[in-house]
Amino acid sequence: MPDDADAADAARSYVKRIQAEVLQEAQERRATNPKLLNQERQFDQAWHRATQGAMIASYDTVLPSQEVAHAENLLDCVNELSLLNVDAPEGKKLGVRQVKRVSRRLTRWYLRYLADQINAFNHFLMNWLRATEQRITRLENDSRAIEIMADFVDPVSDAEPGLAAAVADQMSQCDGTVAVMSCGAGQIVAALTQAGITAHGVDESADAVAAGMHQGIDLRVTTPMEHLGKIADNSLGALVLTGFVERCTPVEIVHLIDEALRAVMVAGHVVVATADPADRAPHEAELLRGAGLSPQAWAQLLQKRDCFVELSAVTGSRVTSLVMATRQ
Amino acid sequence: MNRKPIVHQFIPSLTTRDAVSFHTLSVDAVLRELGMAASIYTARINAATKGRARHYRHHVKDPQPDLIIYQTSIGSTMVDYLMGREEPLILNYHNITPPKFVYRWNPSLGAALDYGRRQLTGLCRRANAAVADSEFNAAELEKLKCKRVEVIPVITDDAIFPSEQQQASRSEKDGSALTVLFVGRIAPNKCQHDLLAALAVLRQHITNVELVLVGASTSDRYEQALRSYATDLNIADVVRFEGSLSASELLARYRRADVFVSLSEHEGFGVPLVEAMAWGVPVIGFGAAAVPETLRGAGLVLDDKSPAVVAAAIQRVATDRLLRRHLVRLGSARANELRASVVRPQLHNFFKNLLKST
Repeated sequence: MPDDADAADAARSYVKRIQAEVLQEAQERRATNPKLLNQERQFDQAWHRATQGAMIASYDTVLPSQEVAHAENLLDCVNELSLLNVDAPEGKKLGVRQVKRVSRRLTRWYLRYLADQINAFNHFLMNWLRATEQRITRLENDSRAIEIMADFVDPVSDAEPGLAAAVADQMSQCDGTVAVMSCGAGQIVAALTQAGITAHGVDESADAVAAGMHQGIDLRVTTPMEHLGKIADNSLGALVLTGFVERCTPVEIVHLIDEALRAVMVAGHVVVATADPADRAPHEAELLRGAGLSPQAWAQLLQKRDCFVELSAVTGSRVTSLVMATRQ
Repeated sequence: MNRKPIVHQFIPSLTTRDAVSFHTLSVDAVLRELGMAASIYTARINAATKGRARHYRHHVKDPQPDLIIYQTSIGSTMVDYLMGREEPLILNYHNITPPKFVYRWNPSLGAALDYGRRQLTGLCRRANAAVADSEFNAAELEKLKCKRVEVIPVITDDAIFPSEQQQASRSEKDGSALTVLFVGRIAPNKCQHDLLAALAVLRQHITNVELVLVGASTSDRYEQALRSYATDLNIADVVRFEGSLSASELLARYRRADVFVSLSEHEGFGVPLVEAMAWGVPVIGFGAAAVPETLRGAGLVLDDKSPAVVAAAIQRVATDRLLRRHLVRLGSARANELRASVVRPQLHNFFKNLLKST
């Protein structure tokens, strides 16, 4: 049916053409209606809000052991399958059945002796697996202690004007893009942009960035580590770390420094704006025990990673010293 | 006297509603047509399928089969049992959703999928041959070094194809609201949230529009987030979560739909796409996984699913009569290529040749 085939080919090429036209049409709509682009961004934020609390923070940490019901199910399956049964089937055919029954009786006393030992071993192995499972669950809960306690402390508010000005001042000679982690409403990003520097901010709280976004500041809603993970090697002029670093454990900080130095270009900067844990109010000191490092400790860590480090005083902010590390 | 070849099929869970179960029952019928003594074994027997399958714990006492077929779509403890058997093993792969889509919403399901993916590696090494629903699925198996992979689509239910009278009643639809339909589990990989965002943009251009989401939920958390998202976008009044429907109710939804939109990021085949095409509903799909392959040019495939693009595509389908006519005609032809009456002979030949070689 060549006519049918031709008609189908013509229809397919028409559909293909429309596919291209639809993309073009969407682009034109965005160009003629700037609100649309903003609206799409707002949809992303709305979806982020809808998923908060519904999603588990990180699937990497959800091992079967954390999902107790599933782990129990698996262990039950293992338990069931580990049982060794020596009662071999006899079959249905009359003659064969009798022969099998006799041979089963002959071998049963010996097989039973072996099976009992293996079943006993499996039983203890199962108990050990269950005990291990419980211990791992306890360990996982303990390892989240800092994260759990930190939730009872109010998040760090946006940078004060004094701190934003100090960061912008330090960055005045910076080449390349600057990314600000835990940007809040975007004080630092705004100060950098005003100084003619290309900058964007990242914060995991959609509410915190809402006001800044409304003012047209380039702010994005995602976690700092997720954003950092997506940045190419040697691509940033500078990285400013604020807010969330005060809740990081020392091990997380070491990992963060590795990632920061990977993302920043040679002669680029890593700026750390963190309050000294020694200055915390008594209740904060107790609840955030083990989280955050002093600016001096940050300086030490960055120096050990072959950076040139300077500490400068800041006035008008809870952050009293700014750490500026230059990648050699 | 030659005895009948014995073939045993294994499936983790046999129900009456899902595509893999329907396929398994159809394969059972094909095997019987070929003169084989076929049986189905499962780890979970549904009340509706009782009598069609036996629990696999009885398998060890049953006559030894000449061939075992494993219907693969999730992790199962029965795989450990199968790996210990010595008979030739055939995989029928329907794809396993990558756990990354599910973990954060339903960790238990994520773990089961992860378990399935890990088992798949061993199964691929052990299997003597495999049937994959699509080239996309076949590529996954070949990557895991599976031997002799053949692509044969999943068998769909011919009863979903409309009669001429039903087709006529479709075209009689009056000028009520534009109905956008999606059929599939409420699951993160199906990305119903992208459909909601597209609807919010579309509503600015077409006010009289509704979105119908058919399918049971696999994650309460995801469904709750969808409902809250719909409220936030101010479209909750035009989004209908219909849940799982009976066959007749489902057909009624296809009959009323103006356009079927799938923004799913992972489909091993996509039976609802075929159903929509069979019912003459124009299909728009995001070009991920096996979707372009299932549509094969019979739908509007988008490489970008941002709300503005999807809304523009739906609007175009709704307003461009020539496009609708082409999509309906191409869709109907494509659905006919995937009819059970076309696919069953392919399976017939596959098993016939396999039996000869074994």
